[in-house]
Amino acid sequence: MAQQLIMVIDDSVSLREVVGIALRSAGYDVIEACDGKDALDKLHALDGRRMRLIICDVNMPVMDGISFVKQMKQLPEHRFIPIIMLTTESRESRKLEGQLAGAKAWVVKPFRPNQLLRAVAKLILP
Amino acid sequence: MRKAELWIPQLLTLAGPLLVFATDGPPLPVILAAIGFMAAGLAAGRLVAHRNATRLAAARQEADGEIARLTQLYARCVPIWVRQLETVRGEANTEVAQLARIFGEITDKLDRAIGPSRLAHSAAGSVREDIVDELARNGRELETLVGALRDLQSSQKRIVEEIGAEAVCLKDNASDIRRIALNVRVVSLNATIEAARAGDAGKPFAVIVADMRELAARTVEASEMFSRHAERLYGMVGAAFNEQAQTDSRIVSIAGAEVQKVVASSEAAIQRLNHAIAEMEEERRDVREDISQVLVSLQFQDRVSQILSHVTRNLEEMQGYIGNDPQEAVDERQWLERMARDYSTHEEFENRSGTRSAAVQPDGAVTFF
Repeated sequence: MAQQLIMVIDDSVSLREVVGIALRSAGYDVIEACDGKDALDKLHALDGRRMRLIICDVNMPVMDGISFVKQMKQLPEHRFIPIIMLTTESRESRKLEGQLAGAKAWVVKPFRPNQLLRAVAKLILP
Repeated sequence: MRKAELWIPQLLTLAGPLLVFATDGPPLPVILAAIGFMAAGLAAGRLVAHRNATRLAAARQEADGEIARLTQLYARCVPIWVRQLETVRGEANTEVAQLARIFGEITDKLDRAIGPSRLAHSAAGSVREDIVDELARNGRELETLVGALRDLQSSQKRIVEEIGAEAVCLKDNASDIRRIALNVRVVSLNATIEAARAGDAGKPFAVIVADMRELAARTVEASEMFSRHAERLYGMVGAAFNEQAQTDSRIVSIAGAEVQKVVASSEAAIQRLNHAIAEMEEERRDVREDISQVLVSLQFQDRVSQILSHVTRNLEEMQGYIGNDPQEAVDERQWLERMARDYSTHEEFENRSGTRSAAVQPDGAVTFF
């Protein structure tokens, strides 16, 4: 059975590695992006593969996470992909921004792998 | 000397009126002297004021110079601090990313070696089932073999008995033939006597009777030989079958014992395998918990990097502000608010207010929208 594909968006290489380790150990396939713009480019270049879920940081250069979510929700072929915001942000105002933009969940770093994986299992597209 | 400069003009200024008030109906020289004192006091005051103004200007110039030097020093230091911070942030990011990558490879190897719990269990379980099935199949085949050997033993015994019965029949037949041959000999003796009585007419008959007697004698010999051969043959076949039966019994006994040993040994091996798998599963759970802890710790580099980048940005903004030689006084509140604009972690907010709490614990609490 093909592995379910998840995109991880974060400007921190080490963070992408950590999330990748947690996801791959649970049997998911992972594709990485370093910011919102990189993520949009990679979504457009998927070439037949189906993205099941996106895990996205908030504070990133070039295009931050909230802007990415808003732009992605404008794309007909991708707007139903569930998005989990994974961030150090502790301000409620930012959390509200994420919710209004269309994110499905908000996880504050540092996270325990099993907590993130439970959220992924709950939201991932079948 | 500075204090004297303050009092002398005032004393001189007051001396004149005091002199006038102290003199009853002051004469003109006293009045002139009083005016002279007042004038001197004013002049002294102006001189002191001029000196103070000069000193103030010099001090201001010195302070301006000091501020300019400090500003210049700050302008030189800030880029160095910024570069140091960026170096620290960059090197830490690079090395922690490398550490995370290597750690990811280690966890992949561990997963391949000991695998997820269900896979390990099912793989081991299927291996166990294969071994048990194989053992059961081998056991059945060995039992079939042992059964076949026992059947062979039974049929061999039956054959020996049949051969024995046949040998007895042959011996009986040989006895019958010997008895018939003896009777024929008796008859031939009687025929010889009668042939002799018949005289010449009985001579041809006597020849035939002699042949018959010889034939009877040879028949007796042949039947005795036949009987001996039959007996010997029975003995040889019996001995051969007995020996074979003993060998087969030994084989059956040994095979049976070996089957039991192999089964017992395999069952013990399976138990050891089960025990080892259970221990490995326990170790695996411990390892996964350790991996989870490491993954949490590796995330702190991201927080460190963010805080350092915010400090760098604040320093650069401060440098820019100072470098533009601002004419207006700095608005501290506005400045602090601008610094906090980029804060994201609660450590940064706490540090700003000076209320730093305990070290950050893993949060990871999920808010679903």
